[in-house]
Amino acid sequence: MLKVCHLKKKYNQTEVLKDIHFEINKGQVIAVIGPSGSGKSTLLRCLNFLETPNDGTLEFMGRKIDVKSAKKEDIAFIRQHSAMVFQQFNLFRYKTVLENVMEGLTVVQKKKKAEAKEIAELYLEKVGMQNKYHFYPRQLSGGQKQRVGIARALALQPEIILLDEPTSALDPEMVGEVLDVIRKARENGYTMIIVSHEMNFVYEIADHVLFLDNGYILEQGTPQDIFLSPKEERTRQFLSRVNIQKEGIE
Amino acid sequence: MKKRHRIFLVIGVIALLLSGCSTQKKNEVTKILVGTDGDTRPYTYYDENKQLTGYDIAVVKALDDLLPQYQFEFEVTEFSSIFAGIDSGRYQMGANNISKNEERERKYLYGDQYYLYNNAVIVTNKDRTDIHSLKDLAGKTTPVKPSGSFLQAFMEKYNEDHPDGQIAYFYSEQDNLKTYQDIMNGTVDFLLSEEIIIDTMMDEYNLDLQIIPLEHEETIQVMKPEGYFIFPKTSEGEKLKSDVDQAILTLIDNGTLSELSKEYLGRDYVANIQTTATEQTTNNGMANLFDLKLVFTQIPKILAYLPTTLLITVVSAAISFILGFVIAIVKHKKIPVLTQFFNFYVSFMRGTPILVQLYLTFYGIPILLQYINYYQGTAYSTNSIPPVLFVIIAFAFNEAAYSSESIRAGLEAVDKGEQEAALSMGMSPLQTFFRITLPEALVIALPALGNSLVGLIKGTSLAFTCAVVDITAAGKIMASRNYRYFEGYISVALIYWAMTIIISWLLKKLEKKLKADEQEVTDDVESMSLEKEI
Repeated sequence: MLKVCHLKKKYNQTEVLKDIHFEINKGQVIAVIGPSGSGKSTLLRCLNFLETPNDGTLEFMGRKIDVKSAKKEDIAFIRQHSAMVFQQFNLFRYKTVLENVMEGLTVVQKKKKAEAKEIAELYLEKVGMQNKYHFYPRQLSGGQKQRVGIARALALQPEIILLDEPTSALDPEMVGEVLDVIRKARENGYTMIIVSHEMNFVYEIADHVLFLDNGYILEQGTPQDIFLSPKEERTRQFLSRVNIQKEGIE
Repeated sequence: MKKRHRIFLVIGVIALLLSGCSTQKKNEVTKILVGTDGDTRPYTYYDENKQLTGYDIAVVKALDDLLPQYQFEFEVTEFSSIFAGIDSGRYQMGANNISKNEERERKYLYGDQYYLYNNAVIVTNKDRTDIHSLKDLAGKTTPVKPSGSFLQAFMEKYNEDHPDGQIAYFYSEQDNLKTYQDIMNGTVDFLLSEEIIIDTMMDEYNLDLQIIPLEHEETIQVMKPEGYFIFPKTSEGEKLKSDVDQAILTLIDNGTLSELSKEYLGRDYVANIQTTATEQTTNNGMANLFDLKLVFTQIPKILAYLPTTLLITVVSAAISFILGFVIAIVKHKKIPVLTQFFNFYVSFMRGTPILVQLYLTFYGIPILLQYINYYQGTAYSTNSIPPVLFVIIAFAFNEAAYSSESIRAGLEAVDKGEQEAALSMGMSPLQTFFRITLPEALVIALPALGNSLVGLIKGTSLAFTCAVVDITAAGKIMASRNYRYFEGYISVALIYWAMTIIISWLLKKLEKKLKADEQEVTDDVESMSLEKEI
């Protein structure tokens, strides 16, 4: 449902994304891994135009968008049918947990307050935050904040969810609770692109893995392909530091 | 004794002798600091060479020659501060064509011998035919400086005594030149002045005005025509007074005073002076130095003008907030042309004192109106614009420059991540701005904006420069009547302090309410720990 062709992004003179080309189908989970500075976050942020790509085309839900001539309506279309989960959570600080999740529903999807509240409560329950409706982000732990962030994204029932290193800012104790939530989302059939350093999790959850290096997709394939039999030297080098627990693999 | 020690001894003795000599000399000459306002032609003013000159100054200098045991020096200050200065002991004498009235006599020592005799006149537009005497002044407008002058005392008393024929005077600090212009262009009806002063002014400035002299009976209602020097009610003051009295008589006898009159006043006004002046000065003893009770009893009277202060503050604050907001957005979004214009605007507003801006507004807008009238053929008159509007405009424009920077800082400090979250879920930039960015920017900017507000409240104390009577002006006017300047300004200070305390408290509450997320987490901490156990 999303096709990315020849995506390029330049910051001043530095080319950060050099020619990105991949496809994702409904219900799939694609993971993007790679060394720092390889352009992983930039790639994600270009998809919903938080960064403006310089060249390429996106085909999203049948709509073809040329990045160079993207109109306001095109960008709005992408954003209204996608949702993002941020490394720094980015919850609205002067709104309660419940209000945070309701915000997109009432303002963007123009739902009535009562309906929005119901949906928000439902999704907050799904991530285990049902006791904290009237808390403010300041009063939550990192893991709790991210769970709210995910609920906020899920409640919009987007076509695709973009997760930008969702656990990188969490201490090890809280990473687990957030991965559980993402796991559940996957089980519920959500289409996701996730940038992460949690290699075990990626191995477990992804249908397809993109290894990004220096602005290129150096290698892509199934988790087994990439983690167990990487073709490129660089990929091997990167993964050599990673110990994949190979339980439960066929 | 060693040679070195002997040299020191010699030096020490010489030093002692010398110092002994100088103290002797000091005992011989007493320095007299004379308070004068340097702003009353032709008695005390600055000439083209920036020298202090005038009839009063010349007379004092003549006295200086006659009285070698004193050395007279001048200090220029506001008219009302001459009195305050004698109170505090700073001045030993006041020279400003000061006339005698009961209140002043209670506190200050008047010379027995006056040195000037004057007549009162009404100054009007040259085409008027309806004013001939005091009773014709009923309902006519004139500005009065609350400087504690004879004119102020007369106006207040006259209106008390003639409730049906009151003069429509208003307090203002505008200088006489502006008043003459106002008379000529019809903004103001008349000015009560002194014959000597107006004669000099007419010559000096080629004014096209009508002068209506008052009959003697009316002159003495308006003012005591005699001008006196004043002294503090101390033993040194008494001594100085009698020495000066003698010296004035000498100057009259040897014709010096007549010469000075001709030189500085245009003709010989000395002939009217009687030298048998032995008026009893009612000495009620040393007036109280400080009346604490008065500080508090005056407060209700000053509070009557609190609505004006609040009106200016609130309206200016509201306008400046909106304007500041617009400027902040323009700068934040870097809108071309407008950004440069506003940079210039902010630089000027923050770079010039508000007092100067008030003067520019007060004196500039009538001129602007005249230009508009001339080129558009309209007939707008400054009369139709209440002065309080000038004041509000000046403060609003000034405050906006400061607010804009506070708001802009707030806008730029809002967490970008939250704004991205809003955008990523499909909110338009406009929605993001109003729902996320703006509320947070205002919370961040609130302390700085609150500071500006507190500054604005106190800044309104300058409103009187545009003839608007706020609480500071009210305090000044009250003090000019009873000469209790210190007490009057303490009353005013207390009122401002009370206001700022209240405003600060309100702002703190507002900040707390907006930062909704900083709340106590008592019950919920328990439930959180309970969860963990389960």
